[in-house]
Amino acid sequence: MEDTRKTCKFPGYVNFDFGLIGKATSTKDNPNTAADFHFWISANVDTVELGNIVAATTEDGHVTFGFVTELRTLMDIDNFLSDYISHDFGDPSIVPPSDIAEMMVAKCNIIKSTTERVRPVGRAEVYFASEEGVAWALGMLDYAGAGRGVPIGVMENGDGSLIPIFLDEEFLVGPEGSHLNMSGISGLATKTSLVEFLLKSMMDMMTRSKHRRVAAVFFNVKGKDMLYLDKANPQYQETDPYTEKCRRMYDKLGVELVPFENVRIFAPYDRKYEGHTKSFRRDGKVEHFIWELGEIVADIPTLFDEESWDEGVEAVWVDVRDQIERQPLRSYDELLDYLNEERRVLGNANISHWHGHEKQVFYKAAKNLDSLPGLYDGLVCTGGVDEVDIPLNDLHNGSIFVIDIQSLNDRGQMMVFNKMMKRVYDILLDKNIKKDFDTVVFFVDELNKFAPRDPNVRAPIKQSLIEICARGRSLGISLFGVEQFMSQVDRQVVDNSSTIIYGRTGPAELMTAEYNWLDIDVRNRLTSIPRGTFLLKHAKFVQPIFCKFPYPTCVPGDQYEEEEGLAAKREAAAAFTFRRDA
Amino acid sequence: MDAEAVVQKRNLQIVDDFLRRVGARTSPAASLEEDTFRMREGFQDFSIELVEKVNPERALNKLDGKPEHEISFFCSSIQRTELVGHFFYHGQEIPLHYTIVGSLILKREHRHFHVWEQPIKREHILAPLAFMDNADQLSSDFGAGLPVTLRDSGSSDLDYTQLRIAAANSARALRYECRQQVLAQWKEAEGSNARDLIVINDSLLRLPNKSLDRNMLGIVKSSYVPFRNRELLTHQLRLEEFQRGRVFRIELPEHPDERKYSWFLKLRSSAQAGPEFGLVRVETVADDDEDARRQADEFSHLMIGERFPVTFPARDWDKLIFPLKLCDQYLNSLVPSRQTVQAYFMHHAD
Repeated sequence: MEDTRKTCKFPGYVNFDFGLIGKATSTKDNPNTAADFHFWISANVDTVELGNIVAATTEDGHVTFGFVTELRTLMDIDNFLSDYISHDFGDPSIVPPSDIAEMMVAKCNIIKSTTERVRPVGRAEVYFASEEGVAWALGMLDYAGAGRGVPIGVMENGDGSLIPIFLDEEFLVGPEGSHLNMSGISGLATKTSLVEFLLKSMMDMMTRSKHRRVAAVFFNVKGKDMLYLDKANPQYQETDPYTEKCRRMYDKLGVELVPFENVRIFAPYDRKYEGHTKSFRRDGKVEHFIWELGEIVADIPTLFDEESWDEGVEAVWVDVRDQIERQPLRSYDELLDYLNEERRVLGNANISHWHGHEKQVFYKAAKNLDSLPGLYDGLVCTGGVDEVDIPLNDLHNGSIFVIDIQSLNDRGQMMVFNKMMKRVYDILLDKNIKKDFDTVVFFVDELNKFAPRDPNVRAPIKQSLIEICARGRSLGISLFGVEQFMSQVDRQVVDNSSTIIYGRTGPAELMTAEYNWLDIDVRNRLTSIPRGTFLLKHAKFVQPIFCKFPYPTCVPGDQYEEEEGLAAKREAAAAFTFRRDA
Repeated sequence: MDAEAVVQKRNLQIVDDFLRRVGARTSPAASLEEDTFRMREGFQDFSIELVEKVNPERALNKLDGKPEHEISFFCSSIQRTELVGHFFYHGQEIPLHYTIVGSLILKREHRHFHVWEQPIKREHILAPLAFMDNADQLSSDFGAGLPVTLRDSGSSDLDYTQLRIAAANSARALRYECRQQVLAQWKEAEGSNARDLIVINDSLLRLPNKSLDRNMLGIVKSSYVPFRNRELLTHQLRLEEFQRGRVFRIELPEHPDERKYSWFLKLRSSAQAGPEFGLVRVETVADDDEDARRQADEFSHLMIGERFPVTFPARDWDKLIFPLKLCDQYLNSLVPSRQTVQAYFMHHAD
């Protein structure tokens, strides 16, 4: 080993101190190729795991890095029958005097080699890669060294080292690449927590480096997920080993363990609750918004399903919009008054049409418009409530707007999301608007609702999302989308994401084409990865890597308890404020 | 190229240099000489004397009391001889061989194995020096100091086939040298612990008794031996499973002091198999006949225990115990494949 350390041209890339962990081997049945290699694992080493990064050192002093994608145990048994016979014809309690020889073989996908020649690894000594080696192999040295590294977690290698993993800022929020997509089953506190941690590390890093000025708009689509970004995580009052490890991760990654600052939270107006916000957070921190007719008029057709808003209704709506402009009707209350008056006139039996439309069709359209304030309670100004908009012009570098739309049904959520997206788009494009940020990160959960792959599912904002995913990186818009099943999200949205994160995933989902590119053992590993662990694919990485991330700095929404009295009120209010599509 | 391949290439290069030096042409044969000239245990005039009058007819898979010994060591050897070239001598084709011999001991502790000390491996060019004009100079030039050394294949008969058989016999003698050396080392280091037995994958008949001890067992997998008076053993093929045959003494008339004790043992049986299925012959040395009888029961019991794990589907799995299979696997891993050697000399053929 000492000889190898001396002859190795890149000794800093290899953890020689841990010692040899195996030797590269190539057989007739399993030859090494330019893309992968095999090594058997030393009998004394029991820490090699799927996802480890190893360094194969060859006699020419070069180092080839591999990502362990497969581990196999081989016993010196040709077939099951011989082992059955070896146990005295099927007696499992028999202990033969010799233990069958057993070995473990690892298959590695090649990440990178210090030699520029593309050829298979032959005989080589295999070690764990050092922190520097992993950073070089993944290409992180270049951009992290240039101050563009956004910490996302640590890779725990088999030698016990915690290796910080950085994303390239230029591929996370543009301009080279952009967008992040994350999938995984719910309930494991991974997706939301990781986004919270990543946002924190990104804000910290960008504030320090001053390369980029970033603001964030987060949509809280369910429960209390994103409502307490400004509250410190009480987990960090604990001293259990995992929490200590999380603290070490923060140190290693250079992220401050303090909750977010500059957070503003908005929710639809609630006319019944004294705080006037339809949100589970009831400590006065949430600000309300509600829109007048002019703000939502273009979106009204998207708020109904195809059955309620058919072609006849759409034709009536064209004339109603014309009347809104002609009259003019400035508020929704005025629109309702106008429709009532028209209905009264049509009550005359001699009149069969309204503006050329059959009376019944007009009635259907008017009924839809009547029902809208009830269906989207809190979103549309009626009954004399004044419009309050979300002050996107107050967005500034380092600020976070959380828009709590969990009380709205899917179409309401889509409308708000689309409206915010378009407005930010306009702000970024308009050079006359003064702003101190050049990038806005949007976060939305349940992306499959907004951009479903199934073309038969009505999704009015799918096209704008595809557009943003395709062009957003050059404009400064970055979409962090999360869903349970990646296979249900439009392919263009996923494919345009430079960073893809896989959390724990069910076996049925893993059988879809999205996961075919993963090695089978890595794919199977996804069915059981623990909390706080994910598989990361980043545009700069040749191979995906398993990472861990610490508890976020802020309290997870589902774990936060407000003051007792407020909590009781919240529960009572939830009974009628929580309305979702069936 | 990795270090092992470099060493191997260098060794083959030495053989090639020798062939060029003596004006031989490379002409690798397709099969090993050991396969072409399969040798039984030898044709010496062994004589046997029965120690017991009848077979014990007792299944030894169970023993009264606990065994006093434990099988902890296993020894095996390798011999691979390849015909690699020819030269003319007085109009006659003279074969030249390349042989690799080696010997190894595995130690078993807590059911797991590791190599005991260092295995011995030697590589030689085998040539009939009697038919070489400058034999002394060649012996000097291809002698000690090189990883492949020249040895006399030992025949003075110009018959082509006999020259090849002689080379294979020389290789066998070299293998015995290796085995004797490794066993001597073992006896020196471990032999004093009488509780630990070593099982040797071959007959002990050609080992002098001074290099053996009571805790060394030879296992012979062929049941046929050209004993002068083998009619005394007619019942050996009718042994039942786990039974042993009568203990007998073997000695060479010219070496009556080198007496060994032996017996047949039926490790396993099968209704569909022939009478030799699972039949091995065990050899050892003992203080006297009574000692040999006692050992035969206990050692047979221990050997029956070694029938698991089975080595199926090895060709002789019914007789091959697992630790000896491991020894052979290890030894085979130390030498280049027959195809490699053949391909090397095909490539270098004129």
